[in-house]
Amino acid sequence: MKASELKEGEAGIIKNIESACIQKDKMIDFGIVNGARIMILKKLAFGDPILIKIRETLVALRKKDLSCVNVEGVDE
Amino acid sequence: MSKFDKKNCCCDKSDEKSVNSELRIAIAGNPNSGKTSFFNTVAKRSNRVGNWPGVTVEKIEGSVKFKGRNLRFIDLPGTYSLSPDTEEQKIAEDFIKNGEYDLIFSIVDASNLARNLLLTLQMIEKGKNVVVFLNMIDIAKKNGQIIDVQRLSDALGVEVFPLVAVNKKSAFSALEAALLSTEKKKVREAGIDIKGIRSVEDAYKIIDSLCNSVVKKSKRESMTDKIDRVVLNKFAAIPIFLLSMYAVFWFAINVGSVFIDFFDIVFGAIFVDWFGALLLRIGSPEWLKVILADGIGAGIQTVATFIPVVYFMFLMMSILEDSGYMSRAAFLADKVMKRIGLPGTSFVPLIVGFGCTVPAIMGTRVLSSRSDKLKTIFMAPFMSCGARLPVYALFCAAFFGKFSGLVVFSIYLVGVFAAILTGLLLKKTLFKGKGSDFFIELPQYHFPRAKNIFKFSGIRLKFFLKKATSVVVIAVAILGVMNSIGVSDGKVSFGNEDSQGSLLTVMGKGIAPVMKPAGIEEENWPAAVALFTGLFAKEAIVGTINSLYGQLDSEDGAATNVAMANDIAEMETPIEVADIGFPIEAIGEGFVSIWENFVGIFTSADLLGAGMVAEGQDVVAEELETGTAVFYHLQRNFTGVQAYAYLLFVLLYFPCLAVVGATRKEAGWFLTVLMIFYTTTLAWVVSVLFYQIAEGHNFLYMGIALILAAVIYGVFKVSALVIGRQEVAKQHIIEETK
Repeated sequence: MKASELKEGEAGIIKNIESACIQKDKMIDFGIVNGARIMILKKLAFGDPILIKIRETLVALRKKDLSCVNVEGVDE
Repeated sequence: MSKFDKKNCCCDKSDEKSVNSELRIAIAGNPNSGKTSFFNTVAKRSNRVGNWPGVTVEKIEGSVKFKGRNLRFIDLPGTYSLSPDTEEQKIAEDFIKNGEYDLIFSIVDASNLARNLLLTLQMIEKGKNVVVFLNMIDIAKKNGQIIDVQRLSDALGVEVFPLVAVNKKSAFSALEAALLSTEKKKVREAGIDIKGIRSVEDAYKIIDSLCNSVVKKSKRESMTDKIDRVVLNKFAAIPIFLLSMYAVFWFAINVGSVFIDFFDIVFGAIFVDWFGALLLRIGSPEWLKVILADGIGAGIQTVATFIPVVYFMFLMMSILEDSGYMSRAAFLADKVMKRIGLPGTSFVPLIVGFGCTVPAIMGTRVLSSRSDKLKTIFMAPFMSCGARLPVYALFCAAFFGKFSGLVVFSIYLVGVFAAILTGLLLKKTLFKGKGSDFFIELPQYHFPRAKNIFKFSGIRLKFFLKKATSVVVIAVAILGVMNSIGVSDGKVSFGNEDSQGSLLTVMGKGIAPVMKPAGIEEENWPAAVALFTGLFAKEAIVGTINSLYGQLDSEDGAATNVAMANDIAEMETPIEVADIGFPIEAIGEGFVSIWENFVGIFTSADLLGAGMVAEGQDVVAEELETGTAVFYHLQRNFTGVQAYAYLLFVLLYFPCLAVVGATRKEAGWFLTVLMIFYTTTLAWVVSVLFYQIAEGHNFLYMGIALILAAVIYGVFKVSALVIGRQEVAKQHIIEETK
């Protein structure tokens, strides 16, 4: 499933990042890479923008960018 | 080939330099890792502020004598990695690979070890002599993270020292330990295979397993999580957001304004009056005095009056940035900003624009995408700045009585609306198809440290002064000279400031017909001249209108009341040539003004400076240092609708020269000229349409305005091609260097 479909407070393990993703380089620098755990901390109204936690880093980004990250193993 | 040469050349130089005792230390780290704090704590002087070659990224150096050695620190831009995706990262990568330095201090945020180690690994791989500092080790401990420093050092093969950068004792003992360790020069093997890393994904795999072995974590809710639960709370988030923006605004404008008169009086007394008198005394010709004192001296005075508001704005921004709230504000604002094709991050510079457009334009540096930055620069001048308020206040007192507050509010709204329109227009033309980027880190909260904030705002102020002065001084000098030179009967004379004879007035009269469609009649040429002096700073409009109307009177013999006569007498007091004592009195007067203004903040309960607007004519006249006679003239020369059209023009037209200077620096000449054209044309179109629809009813003028609106659109379309070509050329350069 897409990381942007996770609900507030849910987390998942990153399976892959689509290569068409515009922010891919930046995401990788921030450690949004395969195998990392990503957690949704906050979604503003209508689910955009989104605040995520990756390791110890808090990142704010847009729904369209997060939707090209695929995750599996949803947990709370 | 050329790159190779350059590299060799650099190595030679660094060998030569290492003979003398200066040790050059590059400080590198992620944004928010505390590297600037470290820099500020250990380096005594920030004696070199400038740009990295070819880009607008600030380059900061500082030096200190420590334990008998001269240390020179070079603060590299904060970056997340060395992949050359952004200007900052390119600079950092190039410097690490080819720059002249002896040591790299890699400042790492201990509470966020994994992400910070990426850059460290890349620097160990590409650079030389890396020393790692685990900064904010205290916060990490509080968050329940214990780091095995020795193990980390063995794994990386470099020295690692714990650090609390804001603490002087900690910073210097870490510095000492680091310098000692580098003297030993022992070669160490890294425990992990750093050279074998092929990609960032690889690096993260290694980092993750490394962190698992060196960091012991106990689950604890950090301070940041706790604060965010309140600050980003569904219900509290927006009120807190609005309140903090209001606080910034209030503080910068009101407290900053307390000092404006001081700078105006003192700098005016020294650089214009005293300097001018001195020049005449030592026998310099009138024209030289005009150029030096009334031109350049007045230019320095103009720049100086910007110091307080700009500085306090920088100060408040630094507090918001340093505390970590700024990025939360950007996150919340993104929702709205996205609609006009901008990221949440550009919200902050735009808010700053209500105070002063200059720091707003400089503030666009935080934006990572160039098109976002340029869009924001174009929008910023429409956020009505503090200098325009006195003009509104004067006209409102003359025309709108108790509706003044509402009228001023409507002007601010028109400005915001014009900014939004500009955003949409640019999205459709100049930057078509370029979506906005929004991708930022929310740093940990920490209590802002006074020393950091003052030092940082000080550095920014210095930078602002350096570049504002050059452009402003030249331009103001030219205008000042034009204001003084008079041409009559084929003779050139000086000393015609704000009078009918000056060249500026002649030009103003020439330009008056252009303003006719906006309701400025030709007899009302002082209003047109004032638009010229408004180029110095918009509040200058008030002074010009006041003195020109006054003069009209004395010539017409229509000076009917005492107030008016007083005005004229005051205005025509000549500079006493004999008096060339240093203007101690004026400086004293300056200090008195600070106290008076300071008291004024609390007695007037004037929350946005907007209270000035609603007060009676006497009060406004006193605050603006005009006589009440000016209201009589305004009412004689303008109708209410014409006055409002004039205010619309003042709101929208040519931003002041300081803004032009800042824009040129950030966006280049082409876009600066485009901005000047755009703002002034839009101002004409809007004020003409307003006046003609409301009162003039001249369809020809309305038609011309509409045609001009179409011209604006066309110019943007054409400019898009030019910009496109420039960007393509730049892209080529980037790819070649890759």
